Parts: sequence; C-alpha cells; structure tokens
Amino acid sequence: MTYEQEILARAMSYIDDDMVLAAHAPRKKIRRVIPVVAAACLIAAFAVAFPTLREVINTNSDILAPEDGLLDNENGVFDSKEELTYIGQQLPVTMSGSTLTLLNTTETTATFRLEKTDDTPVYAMLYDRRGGVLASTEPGYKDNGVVIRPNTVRLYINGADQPVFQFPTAPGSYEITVDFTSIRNGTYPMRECIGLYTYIGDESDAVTNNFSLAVLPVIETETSADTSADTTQTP
Amino acid sequence: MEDNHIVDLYFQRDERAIAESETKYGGYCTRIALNILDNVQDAEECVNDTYLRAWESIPPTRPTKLGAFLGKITRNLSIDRFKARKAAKRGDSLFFASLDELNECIPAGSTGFGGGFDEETEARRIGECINRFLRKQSGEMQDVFICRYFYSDSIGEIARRFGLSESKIKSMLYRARQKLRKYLESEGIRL
Repeated sequence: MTYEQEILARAMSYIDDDMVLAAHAPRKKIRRVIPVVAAACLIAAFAVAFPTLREVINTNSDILAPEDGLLDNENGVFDSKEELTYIGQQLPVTMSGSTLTLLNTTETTATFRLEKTDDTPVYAMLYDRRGGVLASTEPGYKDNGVVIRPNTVRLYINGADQPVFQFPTAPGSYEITVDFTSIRNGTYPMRECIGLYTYIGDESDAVTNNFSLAVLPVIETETSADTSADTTQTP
Repeated sequence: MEDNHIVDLYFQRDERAIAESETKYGGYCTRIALNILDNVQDAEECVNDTYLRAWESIPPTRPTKLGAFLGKITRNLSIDRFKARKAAKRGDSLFFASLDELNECIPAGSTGFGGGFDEETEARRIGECINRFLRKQSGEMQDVFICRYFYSDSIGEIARRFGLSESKIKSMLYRARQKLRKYLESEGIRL
C-alpha cells in the first residue's frame, strides 16, 4: 500500500455518516415486470427485424445463455432494460453519427468496424475482472488514451499498430482490432475475465447493447451510450 | 434497541452497550473488516477491538449515527491491521482491488510525500474534499462510489445491489474516479 493509496483509503473514512449509511441501506428493488411471453415476443421481434441476429441465435445458442444476461429472468421477469437490448455480433450500433459493429473475434482478438460521419469522439476502456482499468482511449485520462497497465493489449487501426490506445475521431471508416495476445500468453497474469466498454459521445439514449464474444469466452464487450451527466461543479 | 439507548448504555458504563452493539452492528462491522482483511479471524479481532475503542470513546463522544461510527472505527482498525501485516502480499482481497483503482484518483503533481501535513490531517482534509465532491453527484453515483471505496464491496455485489450490469458499475466508477481526480486537482490537493 503506497502512501497515496493509504491517504485516499483513510480519507474515505471521513465521508459523512448519512452518505455512508445510505449507501448500505436496504434497497427497494425496482423491477420492470414484463411477462415472459411478452419478453419472448420482444426477442422474436428483434430476430425478425434483424436477420443477422436470427442467424446468430440459430447458429450459436450460447449467445442467449442465461449467464450472458439476456435471459436472466428471475421469477419470470426481466430485471432491466439493458438486458432486453442485448444483441449479438455483426449488428451495428449507431449513436451520434458513429456506427460501431463487432465484426468477429478470435481467441486473442476482437475486431470492430467503426464508421464515422462526424467527429463525435468514441471512447473505450478495457477493464479486468476486478474492475481495474487496464487501458482507456479517453483523452484527458492520464492525458491521453493509454495502456495503463503494460503488456495487456495492443490496438490496431486499419492494420497499423497504434502507439497509444486511442480510437480515431475524424470521420472515416476504420477497422479496429484489439489484441489480447499478451494476456493469453500469460504476460499479464490477471486474467480470466476482461471487458471492453465502449461509449460514443454524450448520447442521451439509455440503450445498452451487449456483444457476446462466442469465440472468446473469457472476454466480454459492451457498447453503451454515455448517459452519465457530469454534475461536478468546479468552484 | 434504538441507537440512542445503546449510546446511553455506553454513557452509563453499562457493559450491555457492547452486547447490544454487537447484536445490532456485529454483522455490518464484520463485513467491513472481512472485505479489507480477507481473513475471518483477523476480521473478528478487529470487530472486537471496535467495541473496545467505542467503549473508550463514548463518553465523551456521543455519536448521532452509531452504525457509521462503529463502521468507521472498524474500517480504520482493519486498515491498520492490513498495513501492519508483515506478510502483506498482493492477493485477491477486495480492498486490494479498490486500492488499485484509487491510484487513478491521485492528483497530478503528487510526490508521495504529502502536502506537509501528518497523515491523519491529510486524510481528513482530503476526506472533506471527497465529501464535497460526492455531494455534487447523483444519489446513485454516491452510493455506488461508497459501496466500492468505503465498504470495498465487489463489483458483482454492487451490480446486484443496484440492479445494474457489472459493466455499468465499472463505467460509473471509472468516470467517478476521473472526476474525483480532476476535482482534487482543482482543489489544489497533492499527495
């Protein structure tokens, strides 16, 4: 434990009592009660609307396995909208003039197609199973998009190895490959589960789309609109 | 028993105060200690020390929120014990994970030698800053942040608690850490 870590950890003990107790107060769980039949119809509607999804469902039933979140329906209800909007590979997600599509995965890579018609920034962060951030593309975080923990990941854009973990901002068409070979090779020992969380601009739509990486079982990716309002006021 | 009655027992030097504290807050404090220490025996000892520390502090202190008061004592004692472990090695303790993440909140320009204050003063000063920061966040963000960095709860546990995906929780925490670092920098904090 470094000095800085200790001070920050101890500083948390000065958080006001009311906030400390409120955070652990029993929570009233808000559920969206949707009958299973209605939910099934919704999934079917998705499949009809998106032939590729139907293809994915037909060819890889693992993608809809309960552990993946879509059918995690305790007592016949879906817990959240996020789980209903789950989609598979090859289905484009368009937000704020940028379209991101998960093209394919291998045991060590995930490849995306990014089509940008404007300069809305696209960000991604890679995290490990404990929530620690391995790499972030967001400028301003450590001054630039960087691989925070070395030897975890490489980024290729249109085949070119990138010196920093940063997504392109200019309009254009890009093929982006995130290469996890280092983790697979054991260079980075933490690894049973990592995730790539991608967000586009400040889209206010709350839809979250999960991509299942059937070929790469230890890795999950999720693409989401950024819905977190920045309420921080600098005095 | 109501908190104020338990506190009255402490003031009356009635040892039932400890038994009542244990009945009402034993589980709560044990959970805090376990998340930090990842060891049942150490956690139990810390919780027992918590009651002793409370016995010594009340009176004169009269806590208005006994649960938070005991929880904070447990947390501080657990951090002390965590730090004192000779064989403290990296492991899978939830506290290790949250410590790692806190690295991202360290303001630029920090030297590792602090701002010229002793550790407790420094922690209090930053704690007050974190309070102001949290007061400006949404209620949900406050709760998620505190669950992770005060209670050292796991991401999965927080996700279940709030009915959100783990990815969403990770994203919220990531953004909170970024914002906090910027906020600490804007307040002139250097560690």
